[in-house]
Amino acid sequence: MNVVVEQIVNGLMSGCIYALIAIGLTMVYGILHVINLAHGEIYMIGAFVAFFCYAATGSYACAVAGAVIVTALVGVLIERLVFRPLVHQPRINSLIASVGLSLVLSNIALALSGGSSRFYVTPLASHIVHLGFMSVAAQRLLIVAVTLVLIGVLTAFYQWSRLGKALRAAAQDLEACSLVGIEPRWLIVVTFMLGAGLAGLAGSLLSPIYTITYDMGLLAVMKAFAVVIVGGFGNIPGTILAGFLLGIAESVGGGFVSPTYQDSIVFVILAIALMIRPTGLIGERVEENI
Amino acid sequence: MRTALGFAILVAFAAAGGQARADVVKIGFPTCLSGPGAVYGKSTSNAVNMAVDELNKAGGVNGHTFAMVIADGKCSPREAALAAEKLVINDGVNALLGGVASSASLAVKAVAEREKVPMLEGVAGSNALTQKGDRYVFRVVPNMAMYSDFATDYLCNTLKPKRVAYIFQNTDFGRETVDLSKSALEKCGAETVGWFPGAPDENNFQTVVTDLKAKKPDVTFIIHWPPPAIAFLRQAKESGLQSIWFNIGSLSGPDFTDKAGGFAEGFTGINPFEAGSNRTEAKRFTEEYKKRFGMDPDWFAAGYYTGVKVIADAVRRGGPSREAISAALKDTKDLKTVLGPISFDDTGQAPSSFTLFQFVSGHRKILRESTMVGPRFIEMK
Repeated sequence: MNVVVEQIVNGLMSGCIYALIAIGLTMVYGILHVINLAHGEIYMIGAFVAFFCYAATGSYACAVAGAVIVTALVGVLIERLVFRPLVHQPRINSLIASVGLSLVLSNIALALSGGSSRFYVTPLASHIVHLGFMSVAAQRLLIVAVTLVLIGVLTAFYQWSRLGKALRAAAQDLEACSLVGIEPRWLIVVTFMLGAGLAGLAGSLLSPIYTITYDMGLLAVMKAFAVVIVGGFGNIPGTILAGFLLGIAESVGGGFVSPTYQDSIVFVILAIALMIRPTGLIGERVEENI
Repeated sequence: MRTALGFAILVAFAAAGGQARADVVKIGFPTCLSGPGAVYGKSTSNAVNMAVDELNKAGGVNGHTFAMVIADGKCSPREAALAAEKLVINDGVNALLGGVASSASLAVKAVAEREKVPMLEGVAGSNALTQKGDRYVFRVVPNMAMYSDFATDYLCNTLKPKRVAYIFQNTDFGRETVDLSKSALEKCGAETVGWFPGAPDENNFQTVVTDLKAKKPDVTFIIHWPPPAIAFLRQAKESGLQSIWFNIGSLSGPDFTDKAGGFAEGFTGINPFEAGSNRTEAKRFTEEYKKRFGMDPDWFAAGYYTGVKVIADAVRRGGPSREAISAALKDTKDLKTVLGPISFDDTGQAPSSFTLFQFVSGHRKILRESTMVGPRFIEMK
């Protein structure tokens, strides 16, 4: 029984990270209808920036702030240099450009890191909290807390703020937005900035407990992609729910069957979800599939 | 008359050009410049370049100078095969080194045997690399059967574990290592309580760690590249999982030591070379490498450095052509190298010595250095 509870808690923590990365992916899809496959590399950049900021300042808060700011700026740059020139072209062009961008970013990281992995230990990562029969690093509790707070903030932002409403409107119909005076170009920039910043945040939160490597973005974006499909393209609450669901399913399933199959479990769930609820867990009207 | 003179000049130039090309012995190396084993791509490239520098500074061999041609095989069979084909066909190398990872080296071996190019393996341990009937593949480091014998001897007679778990990369190297160790350890009474194959770039071991905590292994094999191994050790320490961590051949060098040291107290492993070795050749190599690159060499570096020196010896005895190098390699006899005296059996396998190391207070300490152990052959189908 203890093992099951422990696996559920592990899954909850993985789910937080999946949700954080996938939200950015689904936000961009929601507004541009393009999957940015370089999103995993932004997560990797966040982890590296946090590492270097922590090494320079010794402050984890600075490391997180640095990662979020740098990745948000990278998001703006990517939008300006890669996606904006392709906005009126077939979507497949943007998808292919994102694959190329992913390769370019990971190879730059490889050249700069020399292929060597990085890791660092923060006081929170080395402080072990004992919760009954379980012991977890305080860093993992921080990950859960930050994710839950962010989910609340994002929900409030989308529900009540002027910009949030504009983003929702843009996700529904970008052209109609421009007819009523909403500047779509800025909304796209803000979406890339927010999405990339969230991926950078995920990278900085995970970097003190994972090993940082130049190719860590690949598996992350694959999982996030599965989360987005299960949650429904462009559907933020659905994505958050799917993140937790897949995190817990792979952890508990991996524990019961074998950890070897935990990645497969995610994709089995993905296949089942596509058969039962092809438009996502929290169903929305979807006019065309990817 | 004018035509004949022109033809003669052309022939003379062509002959001169051909002679000039033959003077440089090119050695192709499809190492891992990217992928989870990329850290070893850097150290092995450093080492082979150092070996070639030393050979050329000493005036070459019988008038022949040496040049390395390095390509990125990414430790992947597909990429390594492509890199090896490029090296053989486009670059016209005289000899090849292996692809670092066993899966990659097996792909390079297929190219070497097909194109009749001598291949020197300095790291990969798969038993399938040196088999009866192979003509062009030679290995200066142990195969998995030899590793397994040494590891089992230490584990069964010294540590005597009752419960053993295996966490390994699901590759030729990973599977061969744990299959041999598992069957040998079960014979000496150790129960297998965990069996966790995974991707070579795995980063999240939390499910494995939780599972292992319930199973309480005395010894846990970690057969992974450094990044996943470090991630596992960190997550194990965080969760309070205790065991004796044991590795065969994949975790070496300062990159792993510096990063894992704090998490890996008691971590034990075996390699064919350690930078702290007292052997004369090994000491000289370590000092020279450290002087050039500012860090200790890992055993991967020592393996391919030795590979280049063995090829140079074959060129000295046989000449620079592919067939001549292959023929001379077969006759290599007690050549003094960083890894000890090298000779090859009829499968192309050399004997090897082993070093047993342990992390004590965050530092690698050599517990035992074996004498040279003869090759052991396992037929692979």
